[in-house]
Amino acid sequence: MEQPGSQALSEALARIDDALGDAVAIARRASPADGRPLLLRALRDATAALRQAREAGGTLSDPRGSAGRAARALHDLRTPLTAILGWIQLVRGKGFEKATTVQAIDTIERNAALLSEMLERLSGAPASDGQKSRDPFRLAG
Amino acid sequence: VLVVEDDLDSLEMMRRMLEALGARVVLAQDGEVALRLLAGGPPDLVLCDLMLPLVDGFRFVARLRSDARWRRTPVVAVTGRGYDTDYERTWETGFDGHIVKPIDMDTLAHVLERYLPRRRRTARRNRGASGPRR
Repeated sequence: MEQPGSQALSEALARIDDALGDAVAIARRASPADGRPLLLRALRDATAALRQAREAGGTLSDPRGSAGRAARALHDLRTPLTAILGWIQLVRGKGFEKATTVQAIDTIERNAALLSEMLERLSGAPASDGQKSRDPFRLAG
Repeated sequence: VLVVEDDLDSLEMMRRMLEALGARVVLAQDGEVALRLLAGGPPDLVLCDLMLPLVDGFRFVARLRSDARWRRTPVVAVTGRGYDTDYERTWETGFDGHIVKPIDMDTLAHVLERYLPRRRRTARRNRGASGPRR
């Protein structure tokens, strides 16, 4: 079980870092037609957002109530992380047909983009894209 | 296995993993649909997110536990919430287990081994499931 606050969040961010690294390996094996450029771009954005969130991480553990913010962020980050890690495991473990591989890459790309939005929000950085306007923290379950 | 999860990507991922492990899977995106599906016959196991539209995981399991048909059906929470208070609340509400996202194939294999009736596990193996990789 975990303790509220920045330690659990730091661990989650480290896990996201690992997941993005694994996703890059998947992307490099994919063909351009399978969606490699989009996936690589999403992963690059997510990695940059992760770096910003890590730099901002210390501000989430101050004693003036932001532990609750860290807890909520931690919870919300796990939904796209689950999809990314799970689909990576599926792609690695099974010889999917082409259509399913494309579906997997689309799913990883979409969730990497969502993760990127969340991490930008977490770090307080403005969204880099005008389309990123919705509140990602409403989505997780 | 009935899986109740409102995130479509996670739902599809869990379906594929559970099927790879030999389970027959039924999907629901909210607690209300899950309750309707239960009327068709109780599943051997329910994997249920907590924050769901319409009927959330807590209300869903409370409904199950109030009905004799589903009182003994094992229900495991699959959630992004992992604090001590979350574990206490799922336990008090009537969940049998609580696993925190992200989840993987090993975790699901362990859950199937623990909660599925023995005869179901045997049938699952006979259908060619790989079993837990521990």
